[in-house]
Amino acid sequence: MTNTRLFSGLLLAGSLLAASAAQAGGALATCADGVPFRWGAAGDGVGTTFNPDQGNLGNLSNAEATALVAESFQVWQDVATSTATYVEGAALPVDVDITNFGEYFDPTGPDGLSAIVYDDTGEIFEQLFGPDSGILGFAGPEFGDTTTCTITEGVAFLNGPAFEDLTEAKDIMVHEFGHFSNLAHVQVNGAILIGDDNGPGFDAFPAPDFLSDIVVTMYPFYFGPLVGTQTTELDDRASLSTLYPTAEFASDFASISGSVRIPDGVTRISGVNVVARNVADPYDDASGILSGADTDETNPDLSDFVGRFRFTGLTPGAEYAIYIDEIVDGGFSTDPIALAPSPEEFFSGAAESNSDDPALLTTVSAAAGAEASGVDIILNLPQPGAPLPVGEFGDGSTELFTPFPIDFCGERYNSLFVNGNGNVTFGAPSGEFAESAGALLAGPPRIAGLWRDLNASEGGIVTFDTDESSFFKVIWEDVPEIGAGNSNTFSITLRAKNIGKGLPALGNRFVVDYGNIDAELGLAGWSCGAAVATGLEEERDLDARKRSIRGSSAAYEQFTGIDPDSETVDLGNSRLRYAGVLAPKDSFEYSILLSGWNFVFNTDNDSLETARRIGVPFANKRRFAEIGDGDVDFYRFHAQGGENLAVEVVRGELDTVIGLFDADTGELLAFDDDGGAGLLSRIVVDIPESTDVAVAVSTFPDVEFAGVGESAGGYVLSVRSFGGEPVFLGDEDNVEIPLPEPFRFLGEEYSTVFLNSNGTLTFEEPTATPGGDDFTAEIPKLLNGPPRIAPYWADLDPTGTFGFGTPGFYFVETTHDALHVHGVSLSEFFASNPNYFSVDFYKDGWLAYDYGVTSRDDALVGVTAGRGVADPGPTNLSRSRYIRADTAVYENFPNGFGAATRTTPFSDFDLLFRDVWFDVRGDDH
Amino acid sequence: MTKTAKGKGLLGLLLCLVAAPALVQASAVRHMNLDALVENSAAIFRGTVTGIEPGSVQIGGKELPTTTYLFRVGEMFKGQPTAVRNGEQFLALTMIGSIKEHHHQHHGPIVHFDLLHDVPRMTTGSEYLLFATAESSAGLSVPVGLTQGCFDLLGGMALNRAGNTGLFRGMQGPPRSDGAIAYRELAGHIRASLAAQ
Repeated sequence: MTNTRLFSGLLLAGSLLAASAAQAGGALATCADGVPFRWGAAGDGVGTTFNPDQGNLGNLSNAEATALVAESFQVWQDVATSTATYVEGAALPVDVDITNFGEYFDPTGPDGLSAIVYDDTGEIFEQLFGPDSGILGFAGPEFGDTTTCTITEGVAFLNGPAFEDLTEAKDIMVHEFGHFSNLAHVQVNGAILIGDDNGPGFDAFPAPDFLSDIVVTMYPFYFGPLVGTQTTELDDRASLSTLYPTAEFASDFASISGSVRIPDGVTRISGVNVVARNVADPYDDASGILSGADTDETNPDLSDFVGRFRFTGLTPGAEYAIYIDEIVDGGFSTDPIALAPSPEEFFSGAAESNSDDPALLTTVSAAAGAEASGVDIILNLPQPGAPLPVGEFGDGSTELFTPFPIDFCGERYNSLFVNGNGNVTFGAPSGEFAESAGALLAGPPRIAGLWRDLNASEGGIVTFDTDESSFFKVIWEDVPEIGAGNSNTFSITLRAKNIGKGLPALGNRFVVDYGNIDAELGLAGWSCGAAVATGLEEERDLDARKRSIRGSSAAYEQFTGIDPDSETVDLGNSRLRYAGVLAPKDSFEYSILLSGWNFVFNTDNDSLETARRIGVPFANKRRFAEIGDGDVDFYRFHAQGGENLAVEVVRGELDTVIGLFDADTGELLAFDDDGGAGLLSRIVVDIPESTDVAVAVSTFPDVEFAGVGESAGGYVLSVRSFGGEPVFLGDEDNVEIPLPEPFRFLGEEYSTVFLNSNGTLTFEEPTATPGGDDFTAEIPKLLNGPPRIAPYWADLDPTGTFGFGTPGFYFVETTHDALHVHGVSLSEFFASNPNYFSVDFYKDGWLAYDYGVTSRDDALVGVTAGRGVADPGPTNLSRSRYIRADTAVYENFPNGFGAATRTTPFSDFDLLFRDVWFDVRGDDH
Repeated sequence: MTKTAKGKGLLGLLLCLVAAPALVQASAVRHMNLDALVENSAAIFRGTVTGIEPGSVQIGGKELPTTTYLFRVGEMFKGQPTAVRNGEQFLALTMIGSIKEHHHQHHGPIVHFDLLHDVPRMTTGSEYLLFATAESSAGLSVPVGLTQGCFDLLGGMALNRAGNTGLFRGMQGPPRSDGAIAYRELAGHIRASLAAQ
């Protein structure tokens, strides 16, 4: 338990701020909206200095390599419309090789050098990426001054042995030094060269027979010698000249600007590839760019650059065809978006609308020094009633733009994804065919009419309807479950808002109407998804009699049909009405308390002084907590001396850091960044003396808890304390534990018990042994194996998956009346989600299982005398807190990957934060 | 009503999954068709990400950040899994680079740009078809050809992060358009390519 323990005195770095991101079709690194980083003191690219390596480069001697580097930079310097010039500086102080490349690959700080690293043997590339990766080189700006928006250092790594000859070496160098100059990848002709033969652009301008000499230098992929590199194309020259223009560039050439808009005709959207072709010379005089390339922002309300594009360096007076084109090549740093089901289309001038003919072309021209603006392309909208493509097995998705914004869980969406399996999601599609509470809560924001493995390719239709002003309806009509040949009809209707249109915090109302439903199993309801839901929300009965179903982060019902008390789908021919889902609010940040005759407003928990007081054990299972902009959260509680404390952020899609403070002195006692699952945090410490402590939660790199973290979002914090000493088990391992007093278990008395790594304890013999199969929790094993106590029988791996993951712990504690075994932050084999549970052996013959957070994955829970006892059938353990066990009692939760088939129903673990007591004294009581 | 989704339509549907992080892209990568991807891979598998863990490795005289992806393997075409449990295969893949939001640091007004962010990223719970390089001496590997060797799987279709562009370029058989391909069909091509090598 010492792996994350860092006590006070920890060196904390200063506050760290985000740098801006790169752009495609223009600059790699941008300083601000519309302002790229540039080389040169004046930002004109003049005197860009590079520092060559000392060694050789594959077949090239050092002198030959450096000469070729200079020659390749000269290709860019020869762009007549650009001011960029390049200077060879001093050689690097060392010959960079496999022993010392780290500081050049990931420098600690600026060193005044712009290294051109020659990987002579290819060992550096092979060590970083493995052999035969196909990576020939990489380069870019390395450091930039945010006050002047100038690039201060660059870097390039060249893979010597990967170059087959001088031509290839120069090809790669020219491309990489484009990156060095801060040019991003672009796509104009390269995709057509290797097969993009769809769309109006291709139909109108058939590609020439020989395309290899018109592939732009900054195309992402290398096809071989002399294909698209060494010589810059118009698009390359325009890109460099836009960054570093001569005085004449703007006046001698023409520009065209416009935007791409979703079908409402108003909202601009980034990430759409826009191509301009001179109709008289469509392949040599062509340019491409992604809409919104000059900003990292995606919300058009927050940046005027969102969705806009601007072509420069065009031929004055020439007629250009402008069209949107699906990105079919990777490597672009502005997020490309899907066009489908909207088609590729030409700009059609006055006819431009959400239903214009994609092939209708209106050319655009501009004079020298002038800019033709207003080239606004509106994506077309599929027609209501048209079948929506949802994949070969019905597991696919179609994104549809909505005629009015949809506010859901505090976020505003202009589109939704229709997923073939009976649900819609926001922000991302979902191909998940296996419905489960875990997937509902951990996935994207979702509304599920009937989430089930439906397959519209076997029958029925998925379509939509809208009047473009008051409703938007997605319809599943007579769609069968896969392979079942049955029929299911339902629709999800989102209502436009009459009030609060400008307030994303107020959600749109929606209803789900059910017709005939043959499916017996499935899931209905909604969830805000992983960014908001705690993952711990429990299902509830969705009642069609309610006027308005409400919830804070999720409201759902799962029809599993397999538990003793669970039901099958009962929604046929009914309507579920849902209230608009409000923006989640941090319930620890704002509170109104009645103090005497006064209301006291507590507005935050951002400091030790305003820390929220909590009781231990704690988990904000029903209360939303989040790190917002400039936020840090503090929680205060009493820690018992002599106990161990496990503090862990167990859920969240953010990069947390946590600190444990002495609440009275403010001394930092422990700190952790990534000790939990993934980027989440965990501290496990022993508390020598009783004291008040506070836990601070923030996000990386806010290691001083000043509220300067870079990621934000909801999270679940778990705090548990427990006594005892750690017991270190390997994967498939066990240890025999002496019982403080003989323990009577189902008619037999035992003085020792085996603790098995997979969340069980057995009498008489261990079950988790190297090479065994205890990792598979099965009912026959439970009934026929040794007498067993199974608080959480799952494939747990205390080692944290060979060290790739996070190790967990067992603690064994003896108190005056009981033996306690605590499972602390144990994750499953090849997974990262933590599980917390305890089992208590009381002297009076009772066993208690006590659960904290679990992964809600598959587990088998119960007690058994084993040795062939008859199967009593499952018991719903969440229905009764006190259970008498005579021979065996169990409940199986067959969720998880192991049970994930198209036909196996699911049952999520529902004992979270519950305790279950078993009377195990046996038949004589 | 029965209908089928074809290439280009699904291309768009799937591309929404492959948005690269908005960070510096800077590599030059050799274009590879399917045969080349198969030949250059040490492991080819379809798997679901079960965990993503940050880490580090000491190479080149410095500790560099890494990211390990844990997979439950659904289908193994080539190579060996890291572990086999009850007939199920598991595989761990460690790649260079940090998954932290902004690994780069400021030095006063000077910002350090991340250099290599076109190593594909994946998300927990999602399913992929990966063509991975052999592990280096430091235990590192990447999808072969970076974006080209990382396929998103959705709705029975497969689309690599290069849009399947040129995936069958230069290969025998009738020419085919780019865009998403049925996973079953792609799996057949992979097996055929493996058999021919």
